[in-house]
Amino acid sequence: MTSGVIVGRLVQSNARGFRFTCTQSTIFLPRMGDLVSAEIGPALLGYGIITDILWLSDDLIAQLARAENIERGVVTDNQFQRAAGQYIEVLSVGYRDTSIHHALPPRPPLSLEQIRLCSAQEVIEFSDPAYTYFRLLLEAQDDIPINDVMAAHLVQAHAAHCAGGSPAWIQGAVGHLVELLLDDYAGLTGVLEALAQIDPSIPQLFKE
Amino acid sequence: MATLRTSIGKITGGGIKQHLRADLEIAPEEIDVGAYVLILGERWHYYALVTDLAHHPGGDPRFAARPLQQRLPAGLARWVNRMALKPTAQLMTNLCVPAGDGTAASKPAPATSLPPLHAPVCLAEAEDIARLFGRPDQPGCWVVGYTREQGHPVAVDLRKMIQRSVGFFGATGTGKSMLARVILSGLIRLDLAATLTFDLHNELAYDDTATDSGALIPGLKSIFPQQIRTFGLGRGTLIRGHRPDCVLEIGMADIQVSDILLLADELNLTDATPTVTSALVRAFGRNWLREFLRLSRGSQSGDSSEKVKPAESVAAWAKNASVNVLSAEALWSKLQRIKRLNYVVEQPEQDGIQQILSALQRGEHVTLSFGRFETDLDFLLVTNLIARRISQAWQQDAEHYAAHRGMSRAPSWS
Repeated sequence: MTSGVIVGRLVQSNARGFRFTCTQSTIFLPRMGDLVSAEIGPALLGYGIITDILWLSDDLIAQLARAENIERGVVTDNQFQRAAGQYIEVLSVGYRDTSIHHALPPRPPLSLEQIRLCSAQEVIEFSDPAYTYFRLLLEAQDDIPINDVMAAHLVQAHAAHCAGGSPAWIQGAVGHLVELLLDDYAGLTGVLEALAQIDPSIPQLFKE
Repeated sequence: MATLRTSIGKITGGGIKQHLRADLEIAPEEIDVGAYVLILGERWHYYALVTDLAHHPGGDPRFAARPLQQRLPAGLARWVNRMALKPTAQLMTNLCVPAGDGTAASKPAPATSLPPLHAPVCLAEAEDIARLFGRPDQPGCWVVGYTREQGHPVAVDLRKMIQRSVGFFGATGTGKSMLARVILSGLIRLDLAATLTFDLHNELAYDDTATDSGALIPGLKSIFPQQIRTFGLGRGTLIRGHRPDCVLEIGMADIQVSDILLLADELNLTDATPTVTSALVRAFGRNWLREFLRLSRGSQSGDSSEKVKPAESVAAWAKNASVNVLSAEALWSKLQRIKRLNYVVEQPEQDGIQQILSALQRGEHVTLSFGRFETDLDFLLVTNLIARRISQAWQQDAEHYAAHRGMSRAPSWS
């Protein structure tokens, strides 16, 4: 049902999203705005967008952080071997059964379920029919850094659509955002400013 | 209606009486006031005219107040502005056709229902314009211009147009004279009627220069040298440096009391005027004006400053005719304005008005340029007088036709 790279396992979930942690080898793979998926059940796949990446402290980390000198090996060991407090927050934006739905899944994925980074093809399939999953991101704007998450997702999805031969996808996406944020000048300009910062080539595509 | 249409906006409010409102999805400079649009209702397609355009941003007012160019790259900012700052259009609708009627067979009917909210608005296509006005290839139709947005020909059925009174109204510089010139050209080219053009500002008969572009605009005489007879008002009148084909002088005997009474406001005539003029006609017949103006206004009480024989004075005539002296003298004074018009003469060399009538009866086209005579008095006197003569001649022809139906030709020169 999904073909993306496995980047970690789920540690916590609820109806609106889930939290996972990476394996040692995939710590650098997930990025803000990435589309990930997790199996929820037979023939049911949940999709989410990474909205935050956390490195929580514990006593050892706190103790080491206070030390004057730490060997590089100790740092590396804690960053990669222990990875004690790494959590990646994901906001649910849709699910797939026999088709794709831009709505919260009927139930969240179970603990320790594998989390996959969606392939470019999956990103296209998820985002192509419509841009309606944007509303789930915007509804969570009080809890997430919406401007940068949305902009990062647009950049990554645009790259997938460009590779798939649909460079105009981004114009439809921005157009949909304008419609959604017509009453929110700060919200719209915030997302677009972030978009222009992350990928300055995208604004060049908007010619009259 | 089989054309694949592109929506330029949607209906968002208004009514038939106060005009409909549409939020447009195009840039404000991509449409003009006066554009024809079609509103695609579910049951009817409504023809509408754009009567006003306005900025009416519906979302966060900061989009209008704070230029996005200050925060975003210019191209992206313009693109977003185009979506966020949509102009609105006021649409006046008065005709509609059934939706889905692609046959163009049904005539547009008066629009008495309201298009639904969010009904798409599209620019009218060539087929719509043809259905509204006429088809360029249809006999009697004449292309008077092209829609500004898409260049569709606007053809007017001149055969229908000349069956009714028509007026061109608009502010200065909106093209009334140009439209008149185009319509006249069509009437002459298609030979649908004999035309008489009162060229009040000397701009139709001979070549003119566009006030805005400075381009040369050919006059009717240049376009139709054989079909047009030009008349100039008054002897020696030159029209834009051209000597007209004929001169129009008005003999005083041609001026009837009714012609003068029509100028009551212009000449500031009093209520006593009809009484005085009736007495004048009784006394002098059709030469009432000439004879009245030959009288002099002098004192009959022996004022030494006026050496007028009592019999030649207005007062003496008034007394003899049992007319109030003061009223007669007041009218005499006011009619001096007519006397001073040097195209009004006691005896014209040629009967210019009859020449005009004869030309029209032969189916020829006439322009009468007013030369340097540009006052309301000139316009009113000359046009009223000629119109009256045309009306009389037409009535005569029509009565003759009615009396000898089948033996004479129906009057066809008007």
